[in-house]
Amino acid sequence: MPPARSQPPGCFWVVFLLMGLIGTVFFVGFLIVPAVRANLFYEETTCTVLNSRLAHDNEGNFRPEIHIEYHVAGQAYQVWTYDATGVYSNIESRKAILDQFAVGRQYPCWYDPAAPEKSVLVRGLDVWCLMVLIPVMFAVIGTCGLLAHRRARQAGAEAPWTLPRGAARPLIGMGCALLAGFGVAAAAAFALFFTLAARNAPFWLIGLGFFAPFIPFVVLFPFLGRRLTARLARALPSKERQAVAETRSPSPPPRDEGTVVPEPAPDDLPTVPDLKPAGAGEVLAAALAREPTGTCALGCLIPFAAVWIGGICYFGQSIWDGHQPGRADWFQTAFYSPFVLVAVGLVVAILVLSARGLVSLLAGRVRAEVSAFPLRPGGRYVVCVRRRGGVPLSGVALALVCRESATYTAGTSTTTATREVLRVEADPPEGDPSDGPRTSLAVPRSAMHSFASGHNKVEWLIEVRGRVLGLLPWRGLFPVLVHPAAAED
Amino acid sequence: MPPEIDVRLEQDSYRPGDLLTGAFALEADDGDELETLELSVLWHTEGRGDEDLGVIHFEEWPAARGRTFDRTQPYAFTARLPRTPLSYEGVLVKVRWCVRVRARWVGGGETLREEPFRLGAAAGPGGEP
Repeated sequence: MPPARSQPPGCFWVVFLLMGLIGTVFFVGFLIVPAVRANLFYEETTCTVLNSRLAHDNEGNFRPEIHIEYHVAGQAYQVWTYDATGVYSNIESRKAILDQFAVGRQYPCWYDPAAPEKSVLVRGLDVWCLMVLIPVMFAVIGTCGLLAHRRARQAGAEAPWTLPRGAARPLIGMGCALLAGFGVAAAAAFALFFTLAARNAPFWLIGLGFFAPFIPFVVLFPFLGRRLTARLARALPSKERQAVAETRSPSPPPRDEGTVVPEPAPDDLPTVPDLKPAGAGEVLAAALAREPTGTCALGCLIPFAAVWIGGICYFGQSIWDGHQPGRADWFQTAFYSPFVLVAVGLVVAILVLSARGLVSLLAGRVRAEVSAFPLRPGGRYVVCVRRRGGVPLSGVALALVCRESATYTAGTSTTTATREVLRVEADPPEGDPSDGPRTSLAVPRSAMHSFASGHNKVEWLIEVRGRVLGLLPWRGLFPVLVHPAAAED
Repeated sequence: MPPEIDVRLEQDSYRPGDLLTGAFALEADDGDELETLELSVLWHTEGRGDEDLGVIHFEEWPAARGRTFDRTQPYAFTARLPRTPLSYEGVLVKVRWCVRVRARWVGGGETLREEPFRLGAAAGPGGEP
């Protein structure tokens, strides 16, 4: 029986998509289009450098500007320019650009044939153009979310937010009224702000003018908001109704005294995961598949770390340069420190995962085999460890481990907490090493069966530990399925 | 005085596959008009993770669809319990079973009553082998 599940409504993904599209249009329009136009359509000529300077904006950022003179169709043009994007930044190394253009010397430049007063000294795509990837990412997330939402709807999943049409109409009306109220208050606030500022009104009056329109909104909001919340709570189906709708279990018909409700089939085990063994074992009944280790994550982590550390180095260069005597910007340093710590963490994670991968490689292919599958509470099972290739594994020890996992959402982040809640150590394995060391494991009589629902899990695993080359610790986890005890048990 | 619901079960512990039997009654004034009444036999998780819920038996009396509930009589119900999930008291995860009756009233407000029971013998993560 699948559990009740919640998913964001379609409008959530629409907001993502819109933000992404607006951001993409903005970045493309202001950064990429000018750079592409300069590359494709501008015509080359020669200019003379008259002067150079650092142009500053209000936030202390700067950009290099070169004063040049060039001629187009016999007419002279004098402009301050450098590149097509004209982005201000605080990267210290950009100051050195000024040294590349000596006053009085001639350099190639490119001008816009449609507007010859526009020209650039460099035509390449600026690194800032990569910023467009951020809104593109939002747009991609929004699109994927909408597609997944559409697929879920087509599959017949009833969205938990779906309201009956009659109940939804007044709620939408109230929601729109709240939004419209805020919009009107904001418009009035800005109108008053600019009007009073234009008339040189005192500062306190400008502040009052800005905040006054929000006062009726703030007074009305709790009243309307409470009514909206109460109506929403009443209009939404109950959790149980939602769960029934999602699992599509029909309500039972009105009870008939003569009806005999059949017992569930022995193999009808809702919430018990459908875990299968890896195949038949070579010496025992079932071979177990090893739980994936973090080695696969290494493949994703390395490129991510490369981009992250590259970005940190690039953007941190100006801060590093700034740490000359008397020029340190401690605010920026403090702001950047967490990003640097993440980079250090990434390096440590890569080293740890690489070391684990190396030990796994040395240990070869290790398999666990068990005398029966699935296991049952109160049962005792023979387990053996078989190896193929690699160097010998010494000091082999086995244990049966119960692990709980709970996934919870806090704000927009989803976290999974995992904890080992029970460990049953097996006797030291014995037997011919070529046949695989064997031991037996007992499942506690009152053990919980394997359980998996949407956010919660109880898993059972056989843990195999050993040492590679008698020194390097190796650990492998092999998930097993524990069914509930049979009725006769 | 808010309307009350009295839920009773024949046992407080059941074996997997057993037939659960119980009854509930509404203790409300005549003036309290029901908008909808729901009876659910369900399991739900508690603990660190987000709640998961599974309903194995559901009945409802929506006034809007003409199914009215006779308040003069207690309503007896039965439900065949599944084999899993068993009741569980873990560290991060707990699985609990209950019978839940939820009444929504026309004038606003809601009354909820739960009667917990246990399914199976599992108590914690493990026990004596």
